[in-house]
Amino acid sequence: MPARSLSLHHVVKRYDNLQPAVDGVSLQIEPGEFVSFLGPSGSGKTTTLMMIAGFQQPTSGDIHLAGRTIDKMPAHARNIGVVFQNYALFPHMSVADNVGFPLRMRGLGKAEKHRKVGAALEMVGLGALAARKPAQLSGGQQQRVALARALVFEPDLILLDEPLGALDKNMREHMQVELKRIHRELGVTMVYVTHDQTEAMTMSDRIAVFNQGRIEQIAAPQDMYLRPATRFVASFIGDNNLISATALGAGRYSVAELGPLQACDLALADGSPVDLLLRPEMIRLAGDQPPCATLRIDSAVNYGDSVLAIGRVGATPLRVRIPGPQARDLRAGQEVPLHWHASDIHVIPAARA
Amino acid sequence: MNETSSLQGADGVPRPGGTTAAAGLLRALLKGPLPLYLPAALFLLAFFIVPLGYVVVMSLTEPRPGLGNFTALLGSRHFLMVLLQTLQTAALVTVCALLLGYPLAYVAAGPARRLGGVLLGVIALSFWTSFLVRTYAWMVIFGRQGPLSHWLASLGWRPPPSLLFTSTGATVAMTHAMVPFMVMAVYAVMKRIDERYVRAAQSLGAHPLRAFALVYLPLSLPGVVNGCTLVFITTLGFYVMPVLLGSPNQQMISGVIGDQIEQVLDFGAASAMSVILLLVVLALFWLYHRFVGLDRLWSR
Repeated sequence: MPARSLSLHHVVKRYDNLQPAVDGVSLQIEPGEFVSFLGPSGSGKTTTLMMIAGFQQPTSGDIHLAGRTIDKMPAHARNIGVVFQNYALFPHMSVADNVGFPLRMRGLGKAEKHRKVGAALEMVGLGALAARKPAQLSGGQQQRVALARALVFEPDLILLDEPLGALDKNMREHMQVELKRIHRELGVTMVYVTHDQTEAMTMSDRIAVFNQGRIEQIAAPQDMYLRPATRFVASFIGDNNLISATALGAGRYSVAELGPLQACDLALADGSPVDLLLRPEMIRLAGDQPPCATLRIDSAVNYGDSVLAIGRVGATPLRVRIPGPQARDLRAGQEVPLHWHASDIHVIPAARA
Repeated sequence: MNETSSLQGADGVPRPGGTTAAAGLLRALLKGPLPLYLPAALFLLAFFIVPLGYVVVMSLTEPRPGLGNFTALLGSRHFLMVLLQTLQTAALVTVCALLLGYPLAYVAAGPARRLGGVLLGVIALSFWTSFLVRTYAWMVIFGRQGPLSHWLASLGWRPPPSLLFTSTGATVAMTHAMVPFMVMAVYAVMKRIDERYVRAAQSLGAHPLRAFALVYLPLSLPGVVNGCTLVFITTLGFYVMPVLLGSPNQQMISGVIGDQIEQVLDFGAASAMSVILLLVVLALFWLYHRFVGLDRLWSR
């Protein structure tokens, strides 16, 4: 399948004269990339997707697919496969007719259509169900049919709008693996909208985090997890401790009631407000190392493989995740010495208000 | 409740012949939430089932017992013409109501919420206006000195035709009366069609017109069938409009039944006609039930 690039330049979508739904989104997606749009509902990610698909018109800005501008092109001429949230399989058509629909629209011959539909259904593992009606399929099977229908016509791009949202947890994890396999095998460019950070983390080449109509950050999952650009991204992805602090210079930061902390030096002006991100799993029990702080545990939640200790260092709330064996004896009310490396603290310059 | 069921359990012994079926029916009737449907059932029994039975009895006994009324009617060219005319008119009204109502319902169910609201409001307004008032309004509009005549005359049509007392006039008025029913039936189904179906069709390469024809139209068909059945069967029994607006020479069956009672005093023939009309309607309902399912006419 051909892999195409997609780029958006300062795309704005405004309804009436309210706060714009999409407020100047720019991004460049490479051919064959799997990019997730991650964000809370109302953050503009689905609106952006609908503009790429051609169901909504940008108020300003433009969209390029494989180098050509497509914003004036009607949806049916764009050659983009879309998988909708509730699949939108045509209920009055069989599975084969659903998957064959885009080929019928392109005037393919009967034999070729039959062959391609068969191959697409084979790809999603549903070859035996071609004659069924969508209502006779389980949610996971409907999802696969929707996927087969969106890729059978070799689109330049596949858009997926929270496609796994309606599935139960096991099915969802299974489909994530399937989707990645199909993406690998076809090499097609995919844009995936989700509000589930785990989904975005496990599947994407890159994630674009949306908030209030803007992209807060676009980066590879690991980068985004370790080095979030904003407080919003840090709090949206992964469990976290976000501690307000003030830069003291030379990589030292002062935290109210906790004293100075050492972290990497961002060469910020003295007195600049910052947020310090310390992931709960980066913190260890001090053992024989010098303790960085002492945690007073308010509650300990046992997950089996680990224990999440929630408590305070001074007045600063802190969450600490300790792997199973070391954590068995942690109880509420205990005071435990903690240790972390200065390099585990990620410094986020506080938002210019 | 417990008492009744234990009583029934005690005499659950099979008995010979029809008693078992009758007892079963009685048991089923008593078992349900009887107090809930009893008032309605009694009302229907007193004011619908009994009079209807009386009509059936009259058709078979007046003026003398036998099938005489029916053989006479089915042998009468005039009556068969009236029946055919009635079916034709009902079919025409149905088609016209569909042609007018479908696009209306489509827009009302569409994304333009305000426009949709206004359209539904206008339809409801005409629906709530008394039937008789609407009929007289059409009499004024169609009258020899009415606005329609003036308008046609100003276009150069002389002498302008009068639609009053013609079957065309009656058909127009009945269509007007039936459009709200059609719109409601179609709208109810259209409102449940997810816009994503049409979007999906377009994203798969279907021009908007093709997406409509291949996806939206088939999905709206249940509403069309509902609306057509409702309009067709209702129109079959129309009385006021065809009598007051229509041509005396091309009456619909209700008008003829009325004449038989009011002018000829032939209750036997009138009853037999009613029974035949009823049988036609039942036959249509049966067909509908066979192919679509009666419960879907009202539910969902």
